[in-house]
Amino acid sequence: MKAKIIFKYVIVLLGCAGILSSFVYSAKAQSASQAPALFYKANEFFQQGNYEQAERIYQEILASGLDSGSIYYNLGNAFFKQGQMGRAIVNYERAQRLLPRDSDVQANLQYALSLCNNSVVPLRHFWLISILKRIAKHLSLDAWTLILSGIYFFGLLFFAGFMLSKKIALKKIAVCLSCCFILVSCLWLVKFQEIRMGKKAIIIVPEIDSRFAPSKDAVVHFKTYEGASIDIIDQNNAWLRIKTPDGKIGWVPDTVLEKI
Amino acid sequence: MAGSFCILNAQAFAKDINFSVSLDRDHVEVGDMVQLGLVFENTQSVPALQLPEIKGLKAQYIGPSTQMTNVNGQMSSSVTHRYRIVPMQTGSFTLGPFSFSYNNDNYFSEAVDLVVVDRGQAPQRSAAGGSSGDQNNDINGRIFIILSSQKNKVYINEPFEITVKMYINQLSVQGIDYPVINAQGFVFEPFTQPRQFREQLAGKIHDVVEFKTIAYASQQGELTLGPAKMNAKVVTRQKDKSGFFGSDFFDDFGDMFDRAKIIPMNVSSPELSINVLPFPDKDKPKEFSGAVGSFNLEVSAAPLELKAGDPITLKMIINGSGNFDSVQSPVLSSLSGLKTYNSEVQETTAGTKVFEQVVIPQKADINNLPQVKFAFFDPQKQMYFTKTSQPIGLKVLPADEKVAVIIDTSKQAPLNASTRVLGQDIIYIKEHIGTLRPRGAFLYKNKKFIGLNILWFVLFMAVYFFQLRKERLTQDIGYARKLRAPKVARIKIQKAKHYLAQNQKELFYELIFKTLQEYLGHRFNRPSAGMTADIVEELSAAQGLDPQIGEKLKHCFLQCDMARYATAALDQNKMRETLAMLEQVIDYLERFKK
Repeated sequence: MKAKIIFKYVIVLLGCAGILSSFVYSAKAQSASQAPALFYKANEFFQQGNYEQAERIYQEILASGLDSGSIYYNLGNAFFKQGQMGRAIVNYERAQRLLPRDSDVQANLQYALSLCNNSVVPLRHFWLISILKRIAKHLSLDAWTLILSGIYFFGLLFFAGFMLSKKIALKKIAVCLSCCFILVSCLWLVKFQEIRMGKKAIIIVPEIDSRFAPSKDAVVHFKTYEGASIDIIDQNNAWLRIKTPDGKIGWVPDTVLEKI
Repeated sequence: MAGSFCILNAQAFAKDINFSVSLDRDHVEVGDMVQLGLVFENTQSVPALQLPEIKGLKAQYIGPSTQMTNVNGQMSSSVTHRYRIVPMQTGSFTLGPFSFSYNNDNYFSEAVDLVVVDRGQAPQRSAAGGSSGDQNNDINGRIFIILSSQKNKVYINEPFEITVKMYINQLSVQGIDYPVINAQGFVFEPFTQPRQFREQLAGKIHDVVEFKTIAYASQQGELTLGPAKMNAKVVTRQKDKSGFFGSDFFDDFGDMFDRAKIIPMNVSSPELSINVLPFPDKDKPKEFSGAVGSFNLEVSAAPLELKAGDPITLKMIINGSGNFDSVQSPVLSSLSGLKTYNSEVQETTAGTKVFEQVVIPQKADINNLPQVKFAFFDPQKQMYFTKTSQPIGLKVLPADEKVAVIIDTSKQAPLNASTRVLGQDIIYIKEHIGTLRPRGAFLYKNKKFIGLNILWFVLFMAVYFFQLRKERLTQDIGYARKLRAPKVARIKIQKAKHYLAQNQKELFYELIFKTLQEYLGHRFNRPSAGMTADIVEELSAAQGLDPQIGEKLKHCFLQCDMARYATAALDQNKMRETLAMLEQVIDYLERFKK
């Protein structure tokens, strides 16, 4: 009898905490009174064909410390219209991180990439990683974090329920949730790795020589073109050591790329 | 005197016999002994030679010593016929050149010089059986490395030869590793197969192991090359001078009584300074991308008759000499009306590098492929050169339908003819701002979110430990009684205090007795009814209690017994004393961990 009361108490307590958790994240978005007005103003400039002014206002919103997938998408469009493919691709990539299933973002990104002189064949990954990447790309990192946290919460809840009530059905559910937790953890890690903050970048100049050493006199190893996605693996003063998707490694000045 | 003569064969696989001569010292005192070795490499079957008479020197044959040597997995053999030379007078002597015939071939050695001085004037020489430190110092001077460069002034990316030579003077050396050169700003090719030969340096004949490689400088400036480091194992032979076999008499028996000792050596060369020059700015062609050497360009294309939108494969072959790692793809002089893809290296062999590039004519009015240009810097002539191919004639027919603009989405199949046009412009901007959030504020970084997840875990652990305790209380009676004991005692002590206040002696002592019985029964998981003054001693001993506590317990029980028969003898002070004693006992037992 006592166990049942305690079980109910724990369930109510955990439920309250769950509801509380759903408010934690949404509370962040309260301080953005000016951003929508600026956004609509920038859209007006865009409609008038004043892309430079539109870009400036989108940047202003971002400089205020707020962002959204739509801002990055529109900013990408503004850069595209000004012929800055590299910067357009950077912002489409940023928008895609926040809106992974948005078809407009995907279409514009692919179109911008197709206009760049960039025919790198990426290295093939281990098949399991490829499958995980294919699944992980459908949701944003925050969505995967929430799913992982939910599985974790219900897993603990069902384990606790089993301990108190000794019902085998609860144990089975808890074990299933543990397996899901492992799988979603892998997906989360893959997604996290893909969007490593400050490690992925896009070349924003038409063409750049990647060199063997961080010096303008060093031997040119290969050429990289605007819009190419690269990984930053090291830094030496104003030079960055980059790795292209086909596995080539070289040094470029830090001014030729923009981190996603 | 006891040093063996290991010869690192100059040509390990050569069929010719290498004949050489060596002396273990070139300065000696009159009457002292010096050892002469006639070394025959690549054979072990040459008999000893009869030395010619040299006035002032007395020669005596000691015997042969054979040697098998393994350098980097290559085996070679040699025999050394050794002679004891005792100078009888001072002066300079020349031994050799010696010659001998073997299998109808004549072989000649070089000559060696020997300087004989009066006693006490020869340079000191460390004893073979000396201390380890002396021996190492002696060895250090007899094995060393010289690092040399073909040039000390090179251009960036210019190939130049680096030579590392290990000099060995009358030492037996095994397990020689390839050199490791410490150099920042240089790229090295793998070392070639080592070469072995003999070389005279500073008046001494040395066995030399030579390693060569090609290096390129990757950055300009005054760079330091080296030191080169090599590992090798030196085999020495030691004699115990204090022992029976240490006397000079046994020197004549050669190495028979010697003890081999392997000394690992790490030998370093001095550093070199290389001045790496930048490419000259004067007359630098715009197509120049860092290629250094002397090259030729050959260009071909196929097919030469095609429709607009169809691909042409442009093949560009660079051949010549120089640094092929620095050779980048040649470039088309004009891209008008052409869509091009990055060129790919198809093949790299010694002296040749082949590039292929896909070019798509977009219109039918294109008659030829433009010139292909390749620029390089020739460090020998210190000039830039630009090789230019002739334009290649094309016949481009109009496409059957409107030329498709290839939307190269994956970049993995650029020539896929089935790719269809998806759009000519971007999709329009979004009208709504969407969900705003702080920049870079990912959920996994949110402290409240992390805290909440930790809270779930803490709650779960609380449930776990609660359940664990509950199960123990159910299953472990001793544990349950132990937990219950102080609670019950506390209630009864309160009641006893009430009796004490009312001076109800009988009830008081009866309650004290029961409290003691119950507490001890619960505390030690024994039947409460069996707890009497008689078993207190046994209980104290069994549980390892403090003897004073045992005494107090016994005293409490005796007071209770006395109250039954002589109540009048007990007053309120005694009652208070008994109650205090009971509390002390319980307090002690609660803190007692057993």
